[in-house]
Parts: sequence; C-alpha cells; structure tokens
Amino acid sequence: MNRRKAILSFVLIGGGAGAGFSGYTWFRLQKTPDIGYLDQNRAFIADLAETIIPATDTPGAKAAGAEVIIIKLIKDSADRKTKNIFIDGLKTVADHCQSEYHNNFSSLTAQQQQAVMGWVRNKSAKQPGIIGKVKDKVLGKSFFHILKEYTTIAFCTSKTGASDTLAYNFIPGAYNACMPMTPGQKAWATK
Amino acid sequence: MGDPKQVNINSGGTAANTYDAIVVGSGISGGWAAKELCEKGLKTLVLERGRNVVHIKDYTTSTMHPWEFPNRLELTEQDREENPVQCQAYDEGSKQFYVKDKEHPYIQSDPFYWIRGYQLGGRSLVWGRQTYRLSDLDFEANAKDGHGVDWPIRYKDIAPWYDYVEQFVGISGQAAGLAHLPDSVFLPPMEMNCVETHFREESKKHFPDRPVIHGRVANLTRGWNGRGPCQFRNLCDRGCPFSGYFSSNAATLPVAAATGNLTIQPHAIVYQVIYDERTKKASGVRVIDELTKKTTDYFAKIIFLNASTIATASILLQSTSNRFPNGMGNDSDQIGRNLMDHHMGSGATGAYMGFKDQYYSGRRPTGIYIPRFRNLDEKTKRADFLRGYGYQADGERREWKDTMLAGDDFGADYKKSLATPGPWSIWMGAWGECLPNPDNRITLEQDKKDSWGLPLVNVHFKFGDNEKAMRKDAQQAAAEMLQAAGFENVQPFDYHTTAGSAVHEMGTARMGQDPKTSVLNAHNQIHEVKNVFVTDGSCMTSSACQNPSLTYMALTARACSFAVEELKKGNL
Repeated sequence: MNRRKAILSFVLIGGGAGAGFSGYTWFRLQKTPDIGYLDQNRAFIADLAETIIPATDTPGAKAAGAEVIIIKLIKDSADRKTKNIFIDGLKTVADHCQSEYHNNFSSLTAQQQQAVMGWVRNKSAKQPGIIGKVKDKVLGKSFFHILKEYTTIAFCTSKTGASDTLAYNFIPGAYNACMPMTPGQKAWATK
Repeated sequence: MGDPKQVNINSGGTAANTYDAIVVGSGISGGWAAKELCEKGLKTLVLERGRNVVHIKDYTTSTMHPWEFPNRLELTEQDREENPVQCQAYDEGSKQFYVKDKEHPYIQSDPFYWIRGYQLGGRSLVWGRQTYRLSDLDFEANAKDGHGVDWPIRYKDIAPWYDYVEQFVGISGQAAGLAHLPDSVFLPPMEMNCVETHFREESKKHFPDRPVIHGRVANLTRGWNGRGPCQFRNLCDRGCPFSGYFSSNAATLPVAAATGNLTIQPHAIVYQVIYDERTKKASGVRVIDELTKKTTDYFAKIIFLNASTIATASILLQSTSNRFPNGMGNDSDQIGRNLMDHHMGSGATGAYMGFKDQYYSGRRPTGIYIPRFRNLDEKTKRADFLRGYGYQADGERREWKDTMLAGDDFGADYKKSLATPGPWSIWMGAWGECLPNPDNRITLEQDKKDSWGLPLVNVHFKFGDNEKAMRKDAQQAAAEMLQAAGFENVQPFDYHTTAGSAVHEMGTARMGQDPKTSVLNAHNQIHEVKNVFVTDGSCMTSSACQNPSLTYMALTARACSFAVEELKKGNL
C-alpha cells in the first residue's frame, strides 16, 4: 500500500460502521434520506458553510462554491447514516432559527448566524477520548462535524481556497527540506 | 507502448503464433523479463490480460488540479459498494489503474485484500516505490529457525543483479553501511526535514542500534537514462508525465520495444501453460481474449510467468495434464501455499513543539526509514517473536486535512488555523515479516467461474502469533523512540489492517533446493519443467520485511541471463 494512503486511511469520514443499537436510533439513521432537501436548501447550506469559513482578507466558502461540493459529497460520498444526520441537522437548525429568531438562517445577521452555529457546535461537542470515538463510530459524526469537515474539504480543494487562503504549488520542481518560515507563511494546500 | 490495434490476433496456425520467449504479465517483473530477453535478441511476446496503457498519454488524471475532480478525491458510496477491496488502495486520481471488484471476483475464506491492476504496466504504475535489498539475514532465516524451507540462493548470488537493476532503475537514497540492509547503487537522497533530522540525532543518542536513514525510493533525483527528474508533486500513482519514477511503461518496456524484438498483446488472459508429454517441456500458453473470449495458443522455447503471485499460482494450478494432474510443477503440493504479505499498520505518532519557524517546500514522495533492529544477533534477540520489521516514517507539519479534525472551532479564527502550518509530528509505521505457513494459501473453486469461465481464486490467510507479537513490539518501540526524542502526545496505534493491504503478497511457488518441498530451483526454473521460469513474487521463499519489488527485479534479470545461456547451450 502507498505510504501516504496508509497514513490517511484512518482519517476518512463517512466510512460505514455497522453496530447494534436501539431500534429508533437505527431507523433515524437508516431511513431513506430526504435528498431533495439538499437542493432545495442550496443557499442555506452556502450560508452555513460561510459561517464555518467566512470571507476575510481572502474569499470564503461561498466564493469557493463550497455548497455545490458539500451537496455532492453528501449525495455521493457520505454513507446513509451521515446523509441522515446531515439532513436532519439542517432541519433542526432551520427550526431553531424560526423559534429563536422567527426568521430563516440566511436572513439573520452575521452575528446571529455565528450565535446559531455556536449553539449547533455546543449541542454536538465531541466527547473527549475513547467514549467520543466509540460514539462517533456507532452513531456517526455529529451534524456540526460533518458540516465542518465537508465545508473544509470543499473549500481547501477549491481553486480559491487552495491558491488564495492556502499555498498551492502544482509543480514544485524541487524539494526544500528545511526553510525558514516567512512572515504570513501559508500552509500548503496539498501533501 | 504500441497501439493494440496493430497487434495481430493470429489464428493462422502454429508458426505465426510462435516466438522465442513468452512473458506472462507486464508489471514490474514482467517488464524486466521483456527488457532482458529482447535485449538478448529473443523475439519476445508479452501477454497482458488488461488494456494497453500508453506512457504519459494515458495518464489522464496526472495533470489535474484538486478542484477538477468531481468528488475532490473523496471516495464515493459507489466506490465502497462496487469496489470494496480496490478502493482501499485507490483514490479518484488513480482508480483507473485498479480492477473493478465486480468484474474480477475472488473468494475470501479469510479477509484478504487482493489489490490488482490489470493493464499494461500492471501495478508498477501505482507501486509504493520503496526499494530495499535483502541480505543473508533474510536468505538464511528459514534455515536458521526452521520455518519454511531454505532459500537456494544467498546474498552473493543476487548482489551483482541488484547492482545491475539499480543502475537502470535509478534509486534515490544514501549509503548507510548496514550489513543487514545492504546499500544500493544510489542517486542523491531526498533530504530529511528538520524534525526528521532532529529525530535521527536524538535516536542516535538513545538508541544507537536503531539508525534512522533516508527512505530509498525509485524516484529520480536527477535525470537518469532519459527519464525524470522527479518534480516533487507526489502524485505518482496517477502515472508520471515526467517519467519521474520507475514503471514498466516508463522504463523497461520502451527499451524492450526499441530492440524490435517485442510484441505486446493486451487483453490476453493466460490461463494455462501447455505441457508437451513428449519433450517433457512446456510448449506454450493458452489464452482467452478478454473482449472476444476467443481462445488462442501461443508457443515459445521459454516461458516467464510474471502474472503476480496469486495469478501465477492460479495459472499453474489450472495447467493440468497427464503428467501434472494437480497443476504444472506441483509434485510438491506447494503451489498456492505459503502465501505471505507484510503486516502493516502498527506503530506510533507523536507531536513536536519545536521548529515553529521552519517549514518545507515541495512534496517528497518518500519519508525516512528505520531498518530492522530486532533479532539481528544474540544481543538483539527477542523471546516473544522471530525476525523483525522496519519502520517507514514521515515528519511533517499539520495541514488542513488534520487541522479540520483537531478542534470544535469555526469562523475567521478557524480559517486562520487552516492557513497556518500546525505543529510538527512524526508518523511511524512498521512493515513486518510474515512467516511462511503452508496453510496460508490460495485454492481454485472449480464450480465458481468468472466471466471467462475460469475458476475463482479462494484465499485462505491468517496472520499468526509471531506477527501479532511483533505488532505489539512495533507499537512500544516506536513510542519509546518518539518519547526519547522529546515528542509529546505520543500515541501507539494498531489499525488492525486487513491482510493483503501491504500489496506485498508473495510465496505461492517458492524457490528451494529440494523438488519435494519447493516449486522452483535456484534459477527460478520449475523443477520438473525447466523451460518455465517464475520470477514474480510467487518465487519468494521467505518474505523478509523489506519492500520486495527490487528483489523481484533482480531475480528476474538473473533468471533471464541464465535462461538465455541455457538456450545457447541447447539445454532448454
């Protein structure tokens, strides 16, 4: 096996892991995902992604078209459990915005959007250590972590994410094993 | 390589289908057989079961940016459902060089990943490129501890052939002067970064018997035989448009073709070697066309089997005759047995808080290596296991793929942390020796057939207590090295990797001195059928712990030289 693949093979998301747990939980995670909800809520997903990776001095998730990739990866790459957690999570956030702000997420101020995301994050904070790992494996990752990871993948592999926020060198031509960091040194986009 | 449309599928009789030599398979060892035999003047037919892959032109993903991949290099549900085995090894950039599991089924009596690339060049397009010599520690191991049978050769027999192939391949690395991991003929090494250099210096102090050396890799650090140099893109498994690493397509097959003696027949599935009861030799091979399913016989004076370990054993087991009712050359009942694969996926990681002002540029397609340090001599002898393992390791700063998993932050601060090189870390994983065990084997299922009507392979394989004990030690030893070197958050790991994952399967037609207990002699000839040579991984009598492709190449070149001498003498 390729050494790089060996290193990466334990961090991939969305890999299925079967396990026995209660019937209701099983149903919630294994029901047919409401895939149509994704395309109907493209702008909502774009705004959620922008809250994770906002425009700063460089373009953010929205400018990178992250929502297109997030929807594609949820449809094609995520397992059924992850699809359901993500789509249910979107609906929960939409409900929360209505009950707290009587508005939809996209119409909230940036500050309110951050507050909502903070609420989402706190709801799904990772339990530390082995308990958290087992929970992830059996129940799937939380909505917040799925959103964060897919947003990050979509952004960091986009042209703007790789080239403007990160440093992308398509054909390095040489390997410099040790070089001093320059002020504002950016991390490499690819390994 | 050649346009397959120009290759005749001949049905015009024996003469038109006759060559001096036939090579079955075009991967790393088949490519070498083609080159050596063609250069020695033999009209050589290479039979490849998959499609043609033209060097550079057919590397369709090699110049794609991450954003040009529809799934951004993530696996899909379809990958996991339709290619549950192959997708363990490929990504969106390399999947075209792996078979489709659905089209090429096999049976796993025990879980075993059989990773395959059915195309011209085989898996030489996607190999890990790590290249290490074996030594007498390895060639004498079976004789000393009684597992398996004795190798019929020693280091002195293969050493000049290592030199020979290395001079052509081009291997970057640095001489370390270790008796048990002999130096190769090297191009300049790919340098260690500052955390790796730190780790090497600290290990020197705390573990003087565990040298940390440069990874030895078949990537070219300067132009070599008209190829390369490596551009440090680290996208090797897509095929290299710069010919920066060694593959059959980039290196051996073009040289073979240039002699005018090479014929390549793609889509040619060899399923039998034909035995002539009268001459007591093989007369040729039987082929099914992958696309038309038409069968054709091809004939030659000598036959090299380089179909890869499991496939070669399968061909021999299918090659039944009055003389060989259990498969050609199988008087010993050893064909298909003693399947080995290096166990991998145990080791440790650790973070290093220093060198915050240092980084690197370019993507180095290798890392560092810690050669085997267990059971070298009395002083390093272990009570809990035989033989040993080497570590492949890699130092780097944390980048986005790991940063995204590191915390629960979001927003502008999170974006900044993605854009900032994170702490240094070292990952070190063991690749360990697997003892030969006759019960680890492949068999054929005569009542279960593939699309070509050929029996399915059934793999029976379990790692034993020796490998398990070694994995425990590999975690502890890695962790203590990292701790001693001042690393923090040191975490031993065992990924419980499925057998086959190293893609170092070997041993199913082993070499040996005694025809009663082995399949091949010291020159890779089948004991009972001297004009059939097997020089892929199936010939391996023991696995050692080094990445094995270099040894297959050296054994192939050596056997080709012997075969041509024997032909000249009229012995074949």
